[in-house]
Parts: sequence; structure tokens; C-alpha cells
Amino acid sequence: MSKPKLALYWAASCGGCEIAVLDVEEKILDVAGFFDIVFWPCAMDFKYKDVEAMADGSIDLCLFNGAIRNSENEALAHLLRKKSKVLAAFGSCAMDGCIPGLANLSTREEIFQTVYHQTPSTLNPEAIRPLPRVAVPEGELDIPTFYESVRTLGQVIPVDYFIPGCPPQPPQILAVLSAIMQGAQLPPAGSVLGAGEKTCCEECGRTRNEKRLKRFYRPWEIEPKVDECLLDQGIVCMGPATRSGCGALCVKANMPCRGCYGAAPNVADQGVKMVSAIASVIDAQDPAEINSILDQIADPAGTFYRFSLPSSILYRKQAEVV
Amino acid sequence: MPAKAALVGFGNELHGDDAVGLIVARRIYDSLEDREAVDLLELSTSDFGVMERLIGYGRAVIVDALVAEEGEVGTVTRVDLPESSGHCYGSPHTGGFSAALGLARKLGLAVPAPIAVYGIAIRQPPSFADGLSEELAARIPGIVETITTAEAGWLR
Amino acid sequence: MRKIVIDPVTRLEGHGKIAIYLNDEGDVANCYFQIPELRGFERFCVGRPVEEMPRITTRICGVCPEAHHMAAAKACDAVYHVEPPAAARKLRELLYSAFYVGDHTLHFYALGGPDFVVGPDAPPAERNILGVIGKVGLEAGKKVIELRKRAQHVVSLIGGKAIHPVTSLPGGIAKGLTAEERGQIIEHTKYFVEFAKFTLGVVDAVVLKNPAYVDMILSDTFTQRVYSMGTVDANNKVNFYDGMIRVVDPEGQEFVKFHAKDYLNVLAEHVEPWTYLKFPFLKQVGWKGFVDGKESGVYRATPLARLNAADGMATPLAQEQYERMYATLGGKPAHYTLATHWARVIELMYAAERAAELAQDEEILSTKIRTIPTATPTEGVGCVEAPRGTLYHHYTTDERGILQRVNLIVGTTNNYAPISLSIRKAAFGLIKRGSEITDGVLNRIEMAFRAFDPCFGCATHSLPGEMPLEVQVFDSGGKLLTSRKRA
Repeated sequence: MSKPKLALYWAASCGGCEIAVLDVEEKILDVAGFFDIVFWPCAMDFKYKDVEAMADGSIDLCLFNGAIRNSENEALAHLLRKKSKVLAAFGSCAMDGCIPGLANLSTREEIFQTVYHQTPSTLNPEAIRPLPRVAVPEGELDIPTFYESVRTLGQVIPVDYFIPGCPPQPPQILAVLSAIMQGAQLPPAGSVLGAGEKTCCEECGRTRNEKRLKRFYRPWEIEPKVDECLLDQGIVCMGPATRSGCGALCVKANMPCRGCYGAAPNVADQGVKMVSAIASVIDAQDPAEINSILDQIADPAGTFYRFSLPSSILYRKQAEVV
Repeated sequence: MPAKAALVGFGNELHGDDAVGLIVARRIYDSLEDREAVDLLELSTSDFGVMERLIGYGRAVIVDALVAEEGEVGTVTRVDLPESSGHCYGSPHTGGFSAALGLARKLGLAVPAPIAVYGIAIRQPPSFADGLSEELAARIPGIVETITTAEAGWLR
Repeated sequence: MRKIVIDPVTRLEGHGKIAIYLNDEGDVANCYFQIPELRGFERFCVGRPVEEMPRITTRICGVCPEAHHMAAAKACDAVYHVEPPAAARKLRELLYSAFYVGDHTLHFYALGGPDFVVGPDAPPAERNILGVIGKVGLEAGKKVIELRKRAQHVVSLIGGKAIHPVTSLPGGIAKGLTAEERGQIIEHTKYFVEFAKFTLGVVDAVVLKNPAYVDMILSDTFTQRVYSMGTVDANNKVNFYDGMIRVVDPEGQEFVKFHAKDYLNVLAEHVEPWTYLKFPFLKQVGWKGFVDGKESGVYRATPLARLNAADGMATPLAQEQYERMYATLGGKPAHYTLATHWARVIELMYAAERAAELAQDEEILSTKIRTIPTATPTEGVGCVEAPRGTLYHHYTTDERGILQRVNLIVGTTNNYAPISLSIRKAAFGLIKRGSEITDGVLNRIEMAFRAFDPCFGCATHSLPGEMPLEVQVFDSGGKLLTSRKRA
């Protein structure tokens, strides 16, 4: 009997999800023994045309990480959807857009201006910039088209499952793969796998006193107490708006959560949820005082939507306007 | 296509007169001729989920209970929450609401404007009470009329 | 003109492709190594609070997030004009040394190692971690996995998370070590040192004792005479975490030695329209195109370059190997691209010894690990040696510490020009008129590229992963003449 076929692909990503898969350590040998890995560009020699040649639906499971930044990313999303029975958005980039998604606070033109013309070390007197198709003396060269915006995987193809995290923590990855290997019944399509059903606050372990605040602190401004909730101490922490499953690793290392596991369950928009959480701790009635307290929050959009801008209401609203 | 409007009733049906906001909002909604452009939101929450529900609406009307130890029960007070922060509106259910609005605007989220908040005066209800007090129940039609008239420009 | 397209080149962070043009006589006319990716960190980090950069820039690379974390941390210190306490600095360097041990191991055994240990003429099916294990034994494979586990553990104890560490702040580090944690780290560093010795033994037994391999390393096809860049301490010894950056010319003379904050006097980046990645070069020499030599501003920033740019290694076992390597290669500087693999293992030894030194230092148990910044933030540069090259983070902020400008020169980017040169030289040298485009040709082109360990080294385990190459030959009308895929 042939082994189930597994594919792993990376779009606009950093490679951290790949390393996370490897960090299941010796268990990776069990995974490699169970599955027939038919496509994994970072490690194996299968090419795009090999995938094209596969029968539709013949890949049993595809773990697709990375956001959709350019035309090559999108083409592979469509190809792998066609060839896969089950396709999961693996990691924050594919699920929510993640760090590359911060580019949606900017424009393609601004990005190109900065990178190819404005950084202080760039020496480009002829104002050259990369083009999808270029004539060189010997012929033509092409590279993928850089899109105006970053999109999530689910915004370009139907996705069966979502595995959150930047990266998904190795024990969670192992739990998902082991369940599949043991033939467990998967939850309904559209479900989140490899994560919890609560907020990050539940895993945190610090004491919550639900204090009201007169001011916020930047993380470098104070040495917070290690047993007390960071938000209580005036440090913006995304825990209340973020899904559990990571083990609250950052907070246990005395740094505030930044939301890499995505929106908490039953929350449509991570940023809006955080707005509610912050508003509930402000200790002021006077509007001017409220405003001056809120002004102390540095970069609310880039903080509340650090990992989820492309999947947010904010992005979609802007996209509609454009 | 213009954004929809939100008609929000706030309250707790297990808490006697605290349910008045829900009841009034429902009655207003039922009396509308055209419901295409208006959504009725019934929020019994005491967390700050109201903000999430409001993003994307063009304008909003919120009907809520306002505990007042003096003055006539059923009196309607209106507070407008304009673009820049004006009055701060606080209620048993929406403390921090102004802060939430301010922060949502900083994020560039589509917060409704204008937001009109109608507070209906009640006495502090006992812990668990089923249904409105007689005194308040009698005032309901008048309250509905007051609000509908005030919002007649768009609420038909 | 016939065009050969190698697409995708894998085992590179993201994607890369190589286009080779043949003239009518069948000689190589030109060769282009294209990077089809851009995400735009230099733009989208503008507007972010600078203290978030040690957590945002790690997402430039999930294989070497520690490098970005440290460069960002140092840049943040510089922006806020604040000095972390000594204990914080040592903790950061300890994390960094452990990371180096894990990362250089990953590359040697799974990516570069097969070329070096198994050899370029071995069948493709053997040129991978399995082949390496076949040569050196199954225990080696288990040791590699164990090593990585321990290295990642050290990173997570100090950094909070193994992949994308989080704990550095302007002025220090958010988490210290308990005595128990420090005890675990000491045990790990002992393992690191033994493993590094073992790996040097592998180099010795399998590579250096094989004359054919030594010939290949010393061959002209894989030689490029360019400038070398690396960070050195006050004694001009290799240091990954801090020091001045030193550049030596192709003859080994010191060309320039500078502080990170002065990098703009030394480096500039060139743009081509057929690739998204820029080409850094030495400004004072100038961009002369894809050529090597003293008159060309192309430079290398690799383990071999670091050893060339320094006067030695700061720890005894690594120093012994340093001397041995140069004696074998015929002196300094060495321009043999394939010797980079050996240099990498010497660095592995140093990183292990350095980690052990730092773990034994009592000061790392100190609870004084934060200096609270008081100055108004302005501008700063943070620089470390990433495994793949010198890494520069340059930030400018407003008076609230919100980023206004970001400039990054990333490890592998330093090497984009010399990698292109290497591939060209291999292509020019190996594809000649009338020659068949064999597997051997493809292998050697790969080897020119892979020795640089281009940002993504992957596969610690049993995957039949030789570099996938497909060569297609088109006529000038675009019609496919032949297609050859490595089996």
C-alpha cells in the first residue's frame, strides 16, 4: 500500500516554519517514514512541473506556509490547491499575512522607492528598478510580479485547515501530524488545528488584577514585575486578543505577547478585539485625559495588527476603497 | 452603496429594568417600514465587544439603561459622540466606550459617525428580576416615540 | 543565442534561478543569477517603535533569526545611546555562540557537507545527509539531531523562543538565567566542544586525507580573488558578536578597518533590473561589474573571508585549526571557495569554545541585566557577523523612538556578487563548445553556489535532497531542443 503523499511549500516567508518542522527533532524520521514527501523545494529536488504532472487531488496533505506577495506565490497556491486533497494554511503568514503583511500599511511604489532609490547605501544614479521582464544583450530575463498588496492564502484559494503561529510551535506541529498519522478524524473544514480554544492570557500564569491605568509604558522604560500581568503594569500585551497554543513563551520570558498565534477564538478581528481590551483598562473619564493616555501607545496599528493586517477589517476596508 | 446603520439595544434580560434598552430597540426596529438599511444588534455583553460589532457601520443609535437615583424613571437623555471626542458616555455596559472609539479611530478603523446614545433612566434593579417594573413598562411607548422622532431624518 | 534556465535553484532562502546564455559556438556568453523575491522590510518597518525591531527583523530569516535579533538589539542600544550591563552583553553573546554552533552544523552536515564529504562525482542519490552518514556512520546523524536540540535549547533559555527569539531590549535583556538553567547550558557547551572536535575529525579523515578532494578545493575553477570582510576584536581575532569590521584586499593587505557606524563610507549597493536583490560592493574601489581582482569592488563575507580578514582565532583549539588550514592551502589569504566549508568548521570550533567560556563566567547569573535608557533616541547602527556574512542594521528614529528610516545589508546579500561570479566562472569553465551538459557540469555549478551557504540550509534528516537542477536548452527562437534533469 502506498504511503500518503505530503507536500510542503513556502511562498513569501522567512523559513521559520520549515525549521519548526525540523525542530520536532528525531520524530521527523517517523514523519518521513509515514509519508511520501513529494514536494518540498527547500529540501528536495521535485520541480513545479513534477507537481503539474501529478493527478488532481493526489497529494493527501499539503502544508503551505508563506503569504501571497507576488505572482509566483499565487500561481503555486492555485496549483497546489488543485493537486491536494487537504490543504492547510501553515503558520501566520499563510493564515493571516504575518510580518510581510505590514507592507499593506504602505504601497508597492513606496516600497520600491525606498529599497531601490532612497536607502543611504543604494547607489543607483540611473534610477534602475527590477522589472518583470527585462531585455539583456543575450535575450530576455523574467522575475515574478510584485503585487500591490500582501494577501493571505485563504484570500486566493479555499483552505481546509489553519495552523497558527509564527512559527507554529514544534510540539503543536507534532500533535497535528501524529493525529493524522494515527488516522484520527479531522475536525470540519475551516477549523483551526494545532492551537488552543482560549486566549493567550489563559496560558500566561501571571496574576491578573484587572487594574485601571493612568499611563502606558514602552517595554524598554521599566523592568516589570515577573508575576504580575504586563497589561496591569501598563505594557501593551496582545494576550487578550490572541489565540492560545504557544505556551505563552514570550510572556514567560518577560516580554509582552505580540499576537503571533492570530485572533482569539470567536474573534473576527484581532485589532478591534485589542481596542476593546485596552479601552477597558483606561482609568479616566475626561476625554482629553483619555486621549493623552491613548497617545502613549506607540504605533497602535502596527502593534495590534502586527501579524494579522492582511486578514483584518482594516485591510479589507482599505482594499474596498482602492 | 452606502454603509448600513446599526440600531443597538443594550441590556440584560435577567436584570429587570436593565432590559429596557433591548426592549425599546426591538420595538423601534419592528416599527420600521424599511429595514434594508438598518441592522438590529442586541448586545447583552458586559465585555467590550460592542466595538467589534460596530466597525463598518456608517452610523449608529444605541439604546441603553442609565441608573439614576433621582428624576423620573423612563426619562430619555441623549448623548452624541461626534468625530472628535466630546462628551464621555459611561453606562453599566459601556464604560470606556469613548476610549474604545478614540483608539479605533487612531487605528484608521471605520467607526460609525454619528453615534447617538439614548440613556433611559431606571432605578438600580434587584439582582434577578423578570420583566420590567410596571412604572417603566408604562413609559415604553412614549420612549419609542421620543427616539423615533429624534432620529426621524433617517430612521423610518 | 541559446538559453539554459536552471529554475528553481533550491536550498536557497526562498527562490533563485540561473539563466545561462550560449553563443552560436556553444561557449557561455553570459550567466545571470536572479533573485525573484522582495518583501520590503526597509520600508514597512518605518513607523514601528524601534524596540520592536529585535522581534520584527527576525522574520527576515527563520534559519538565522538570532543574527537579526542581535544586530537589531545593538542598533537599538545605539539609537538610545545606552550601554547594556556586562551581564546582558554576555548573555546575548552566549545565545549567539550557541546559535552559531547549531547553524554551522546544519550547513556542514546537510547542505555543504555532502559535496565536501561525499564528493562531486558521487551519484546524486548519495550527495545528501544519507551519503554523509554512510561515510561517517549513523551515529553522526543522531549526533547532529542531538546537537541541534541542545543548541536550540540554549537559545530558548536566553531568548524566550528558539525560532524568533524575543528578549533583547534597548539597554539589555528581559530575562536572566537561574542557576539550574545555567547548569544545563554548561552541559550543552561541553557537548558542543566534543561535537566540534568530532566534525573536525570528519574533515580530516574524509576530506584532507583524500588527494582528489584537495585538488578540487585548490582548483582554479573554484577560485576567486576578491576582497574579504569580517569582524575582529581588539586583537584582530575573529568575533561574531562585536568588534570592528576589517577588509583585506586579494593579497591580504588591510584595506580598511571601520566601526559599524561608518559603514556608509565603505559600502554601497548596486541595482540591476533583472533581480530584486541589490549587490553590495566596496565604494572606494567601485562597481566594475561581475569581475574579480583588486580593481573590482566585489568582496566576500563568508567564514573563509572572516578567517582571511583576521589574524587568528581567539580560542586555542580553533586557532590550531586556523594555522593548519592556511598551511595546507599555501598561505593567507585563501581564495578557494570550497575551503569555505573547512573555515566553517573552524568557526564551529570557536563558537563552541566561546560558548563554553561564557557559560562558565559567573557574571551571567547576575540579575543586573537592564539599563533603562534616558537619552532621546536618534540614530544608530548595529552590526554582527551572521553565519552567512556581515549583517548591518541602521535605524533612524524621531524623538519618540518611532522609526523614520531603515537600512539593512543582510549577510547573504554581501555575497550576491561573488556568488554570481562563482556561478559564471563555473559555467564559463565547464560548458564549452560542443560539450555535453552532463550531471557533472550541473554539480559543479551547484558547488560554486552552495559553498556560500546561501541563507537557507535545510534538511537535518534523511531526505534524498540533492540540489534539484533541470537544464533546458532552447534555441534562439525559444524552441526546446533538449531537456536534461538530474535523476
